[in-house]
Amino acid sequence: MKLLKTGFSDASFNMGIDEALMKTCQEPVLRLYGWKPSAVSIGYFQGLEEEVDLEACKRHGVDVVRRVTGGGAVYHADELTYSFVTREFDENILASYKDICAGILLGLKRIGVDGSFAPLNDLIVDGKKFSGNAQTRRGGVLLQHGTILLSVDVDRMFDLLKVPSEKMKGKLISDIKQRVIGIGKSFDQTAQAVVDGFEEHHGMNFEPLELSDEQMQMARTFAEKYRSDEWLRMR
Amino acid sequence: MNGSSVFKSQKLLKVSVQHDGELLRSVSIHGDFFLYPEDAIGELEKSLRGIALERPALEAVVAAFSSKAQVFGFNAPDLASAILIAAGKEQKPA
Repeated sequence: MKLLKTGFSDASFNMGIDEALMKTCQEPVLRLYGWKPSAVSIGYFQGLEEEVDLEACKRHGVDVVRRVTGGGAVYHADELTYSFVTREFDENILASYKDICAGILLGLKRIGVDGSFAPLNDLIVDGKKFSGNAQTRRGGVLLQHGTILLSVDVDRMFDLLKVPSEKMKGKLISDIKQRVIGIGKSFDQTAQAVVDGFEEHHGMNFEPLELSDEQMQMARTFAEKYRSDEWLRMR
Repeated sequence: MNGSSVFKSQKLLKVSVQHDGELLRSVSIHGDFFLYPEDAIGELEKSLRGIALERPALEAVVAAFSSKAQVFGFNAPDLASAILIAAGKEQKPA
């Protein structure tokens, strides 16, 4: 089991690295990363114009990217993001989400965040969501990536995402503030907790991994796809 | 004729349709759901073209598709509802 820390990258390159890891997966890899600049990612099946205020993103210097995974739009700012790629996984989708999330929950418990899994793809603490997760399976490889919110800026999030009705915006913001929470830990502390949790859950230690030249080249090539209008405006 | 709807299933379905009042000419299905394999969404949209704007016919197509792909976040009755609402054949639930 390998551990890859790639620091902070832009949205297209972040998604490019995830896809490169998927294409070259031989053994399980946990990758930990962040977003610089902050970004909005949308799910594979979402309509770009329906979900994202592109002008607002431009104004705030926020990247926009379409993920290879389903799920909803996410504002990536003060968070730890992980991805996990593996060829060994439960065919049952719910079971595989639960299994991968178990490592995260174990680790976070060590730093005082006693969360739980909320099917299909969320983690919650005190009834509030602090993590959303999404996975895809291609060529016998599972990729699951997800966010662990350290803090939440709901007002900024709603500047960047479109809402069904401007009239309802105030109520929506107030609802989300009640339902979403950051765990209030630092990036490094959370990253270490996730590493510890995965090691405990899998009963083995990580070996550090660096991206090979081939993987870097693949990630750059995939990043071009994620940057393209064709991909971004696919739906 | 064109129409669209937003339907709250387990996940949110956003559907746009073109139709002639009786048959569905095309449908575009967006939302925050999960579908494996992802590429199969095109197959689902294609298989709905030319189908009668009637609940049993729409549900049968979606159910047949669901046996080939794994869908999380909506079911056949919900997608049929979203399409029928978009086409003006049903009212959005209160």
